[in-house]
Amino acid sequence: MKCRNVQKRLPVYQDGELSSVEQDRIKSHLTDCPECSKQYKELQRVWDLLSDFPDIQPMPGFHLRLRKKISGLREHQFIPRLRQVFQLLPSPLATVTLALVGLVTGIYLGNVIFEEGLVFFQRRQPSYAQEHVSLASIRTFDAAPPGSLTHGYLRMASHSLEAHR
Amino acid sequence: MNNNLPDEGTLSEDLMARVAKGDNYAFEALVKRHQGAVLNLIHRFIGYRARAEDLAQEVFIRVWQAAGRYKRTAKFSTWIYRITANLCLNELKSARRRKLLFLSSSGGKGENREDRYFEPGADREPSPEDLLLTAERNRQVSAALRSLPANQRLAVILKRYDDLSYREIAQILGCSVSAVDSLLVRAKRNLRKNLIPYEK
Repeated sequence: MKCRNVQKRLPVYQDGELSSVEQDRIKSHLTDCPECSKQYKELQRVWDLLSDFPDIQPMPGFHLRLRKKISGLREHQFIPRLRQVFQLLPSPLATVTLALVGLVTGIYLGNVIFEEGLVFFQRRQPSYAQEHVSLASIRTFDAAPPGSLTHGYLRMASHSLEAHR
Repeated sequence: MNNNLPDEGTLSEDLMARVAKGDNYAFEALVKRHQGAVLNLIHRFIGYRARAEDLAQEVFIRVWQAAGRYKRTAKFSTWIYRITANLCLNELKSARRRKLLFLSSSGGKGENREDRYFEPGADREPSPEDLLLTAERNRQVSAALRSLPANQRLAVILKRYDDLSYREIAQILGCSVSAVDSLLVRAKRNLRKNLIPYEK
């Protein structure tokens, strides 16, 4: 095995992440090659130096502060839920594009349906003659339209007058 | 609701299922079990204790919020490391955005300005632990770590201090095993460059 190749793989060898065959090859190379062995020792020294960054423990009150934050969140759970709903939506650009496509399709379909008279409940504009006839036939504007209280009273009055005669 | 104190041997994944049902004891147990790993990963990454504590709390808040959606597809520890790593990367990005904080710094040649913010011991009220951290050797190691690009730094921390396999690191960082391989090769080369002269 060439020194150049061994030195390239030394960091992975150090972590024991090579195949067992490769690990063995490099191990035996290191026993025979002082230069590669020196490089490997240097690598290990660096790794050991990193232990000079000791572990820390959470400050007193860590749990209390966490509990407070969480109980605060419990009281205001509505906002995260709302955020979750919005997270379900696609990106803003896609949402706007979808809304625009929906709007244009809606306008187009609306025009087609109404122009073709496909809607059964659509009111057609009456012609002038139809309007005239219907207005003439309406007796709403009579002094006493049929069915009204006045009409009833007048009929009663005329009956009693005839009976009187 | 199962609000009994969980056993020591209860799997984190089972604790998480209990948290989803609103079990506060299970959540406390999860926090106690993972707080050290989460806090130290963040602290080693950003080098700023008070902020590391805040971010560690943010990790656990996210765990609590996600309890209902959590699926046992990966180990809980991998999942929580992934949340932590993402939070670290976001913190670095937002520190870059908070340029105003660094206006007073001189911005020396070749220095990452956001890293100045993360100087260990930057707390205004240093505790004995902080003083210990600012000791010369620790400072050198911390500086060497901070000089690494974000992904290399995370990979080194996860390998060196948490002894995770390349496969686990790949899952946490969301990349391939071979990418972790090359990240660590480059990171170790950089660390050697920065730490060996100091050692001599």
